[in-house]
Amino acid sequence: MNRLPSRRPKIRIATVKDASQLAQIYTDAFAPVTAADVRRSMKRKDARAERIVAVVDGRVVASVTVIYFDLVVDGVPIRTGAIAGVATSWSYRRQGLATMLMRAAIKRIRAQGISNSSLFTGVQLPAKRIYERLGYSETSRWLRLADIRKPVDVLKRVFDERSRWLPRTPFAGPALKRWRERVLYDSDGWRATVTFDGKQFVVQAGRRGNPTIVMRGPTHPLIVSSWNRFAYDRHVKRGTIRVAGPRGACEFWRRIVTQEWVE
Amino acid sequence: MRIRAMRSRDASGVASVYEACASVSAGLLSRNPERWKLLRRQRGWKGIWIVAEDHGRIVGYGLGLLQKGQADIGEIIWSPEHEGTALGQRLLDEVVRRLNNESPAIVSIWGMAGSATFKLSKPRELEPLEATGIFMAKAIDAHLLLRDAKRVLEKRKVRGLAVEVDRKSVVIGRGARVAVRVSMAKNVLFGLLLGLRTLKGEIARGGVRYSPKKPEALKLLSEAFPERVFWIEDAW
Repeated sequence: MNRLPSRRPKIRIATVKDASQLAQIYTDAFAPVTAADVRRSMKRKDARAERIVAVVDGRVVASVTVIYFDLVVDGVPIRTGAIAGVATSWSYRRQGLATMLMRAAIKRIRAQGISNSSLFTGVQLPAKRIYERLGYSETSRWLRLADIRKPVDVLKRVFDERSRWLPRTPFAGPALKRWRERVLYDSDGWRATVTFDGKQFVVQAGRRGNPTIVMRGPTHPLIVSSWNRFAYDRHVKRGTIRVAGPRGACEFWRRIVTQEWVE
Repeated sequence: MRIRAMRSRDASGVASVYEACASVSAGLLSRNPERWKLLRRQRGWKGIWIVAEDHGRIVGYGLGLLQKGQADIGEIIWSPEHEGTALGQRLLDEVVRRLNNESPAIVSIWGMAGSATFKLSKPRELEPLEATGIFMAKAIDAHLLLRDAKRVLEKRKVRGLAVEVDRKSVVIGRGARVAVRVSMAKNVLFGLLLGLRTLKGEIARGGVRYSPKKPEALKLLSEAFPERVFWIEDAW
């Protein structure tokens, strides 16, 4: 684990006043979130929740949410402390803040007489290693079965989400300002060209102009690789999908496609 | 029995079906009226709710969700007494039919590996995509967990089982004579209680040790930790 910031973070429970700073952290970590969204979720009535935050120099830099639910086992309620929204500000990552907050969360859960904690995380997220170190074990994998009927429309949806998020992040925003490549998806029975116009990604059906990068492969692997880093790397390694183009451009494209920055 | 769109007056019937499932299964979330309200009004999504009605009583329900060309099959739930009657399949087919009317770009279903809804989905020819999420759990405190386990196992009418976790133990059944002793790690006990781990699998890999090694002991353990009956993909 990396060292904690030189000034020891203060750990406390977040209040509604922290909503705008939390919104920035969540936007860095997950997707665009507004302060109003955070305030709304802080007032949720379906379950009691508390956000534990780390504060450095008066600023909220990391957060973990504990939601108290009842799991029903044969009609018997068992309280669980569900962990959610583990997020750290971009400039404070890899300093052990998430681990520190998780430990504080577990302590709070135990102090309330709750026997267990549970959480849900993405397969591709390295946060899984933090949870394993803290004693969480994988109990089941979640899968998605799909019938992809209009792959170009699905890609449009995927890149619409990227457009709303990536240009606004401190990690991808500056690089995307200079990025003017053209990417061709070439599959069985369909083609699509992806470009970035300086503000957002544009997905058009068919081949448009001269592509810098060409991605070839069957529909499912191509689409799945657009949101799963492990799938992307595995399919490229196996040759199920083939990515051709200048090395530097391909590497940056991989980061755009797989959103590796989420880490 | 008929399958039709849900009406606002069906809300209590739908909640009753869920509660009936929760009373015979493991690991479902308890839902208060606020949680149901959140489910019914998911922001940005159009929800398609259908119910199965039998002689004026709601016996099952299905949920489909639509957002900008993406169609997701949500919960497909039927009451325990209709297990094995193909009601689940009928509900799923109806949800998919209604989603298809909106000409989605992608139809998908998402849930735990092995879930009952996945079995229903096979005939729909949905292809598996990569695993996307992992459910992880941690038993924090052996003493508190044994207290929870005792409540659940007594509800399952188990008697005479001594459960040991981290050198702490509890005997199930007030005043019962210990017939079987079983020991395991706390994460294993938690997984078995929720049906996320199987007794057979844990015995095979040495995660559960019991004595005496007799068929009667195994029978008692199977009653204590049965296989999960219903799978509902509650995510929080």
